[in-house]
Amino acid sequence: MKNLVNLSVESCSAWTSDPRLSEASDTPPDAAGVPPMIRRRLSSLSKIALSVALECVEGQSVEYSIFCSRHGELQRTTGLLQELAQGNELSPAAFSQSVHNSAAGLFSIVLDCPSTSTSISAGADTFGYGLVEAAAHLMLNPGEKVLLVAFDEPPPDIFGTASRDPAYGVALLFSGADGFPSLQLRLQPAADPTEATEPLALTFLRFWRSGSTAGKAPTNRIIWEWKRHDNRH
Amino acid sequence: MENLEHSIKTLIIECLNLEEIQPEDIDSNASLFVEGLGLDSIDALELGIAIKKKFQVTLNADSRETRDHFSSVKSLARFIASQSD
Repeated sequence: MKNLVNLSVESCSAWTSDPRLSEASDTPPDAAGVPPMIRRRLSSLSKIALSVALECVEGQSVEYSIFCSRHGELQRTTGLLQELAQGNELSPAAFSQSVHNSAAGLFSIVLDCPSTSTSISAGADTFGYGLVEAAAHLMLNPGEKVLLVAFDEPPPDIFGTASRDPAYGVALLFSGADGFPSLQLRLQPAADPTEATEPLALTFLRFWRSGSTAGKAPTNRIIWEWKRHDNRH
Repeated sequence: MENLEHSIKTLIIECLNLEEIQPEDIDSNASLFVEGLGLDSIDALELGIAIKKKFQVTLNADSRETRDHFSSVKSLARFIASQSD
């Protein structure tokens, strides 16, 4: 087991439909910070991602952004496939934003921010690998700011049991700067595979908001371990 | 013709999700794309599909005439009226 780099957590914004978290709300975020001519085409998922991302960065520029979604724009894609199956013409606007990295592209357009971004989908470990990506980037580029945005909606009913997860968006702004609480990340292979009961990002959010110094989340492949240090001077 | 123009304006607002715009805000003579309403090429395709569906007219995406028909609400109304005659 190896420690990865310490990540300074400069800011954290979140929304979820899960009533067990303090960020819970029945009203999905409306991405009010997005100009109306862009906002009108956003899927409900992109609205969640952009709302938490824009709130988290508060207009600051970031050098790197990581967009993590297990299911991506599956609701939109499924809708398009159903239209196609019925022989209808597809909505060009829906089609143009039906890919996994829609939110990543929109974020760069809205902030007029041409920096690098990546999109991650890795099953139940999606959020965890986003943290690994952030840690790896900051290890190589210690002076930069990295935004991680994790977001998902339950897949359409046609996909069956996977549909029980709540909708959520979690955005974290990382850097190597002093004066912020820091996160230490460890991971090891799961010897005894466990099916996660909620999205990993929400388990993390619960840990981070609780103020505990250590948290742990097993998935069916990996045990994710998090340590928090409050380094305020 | 005025009724037709009004229903085209309503269709534009609905199919392009222009939440903050009322039919009265759209000038029938004003250009729909780039200037005027500020619509783009994806809107043109979206609107083309909606117009085909609602008014049962055929549009050729590549033709020069189609571009002229889409220049304003007035020209769209003229085109749709000519097709249903």
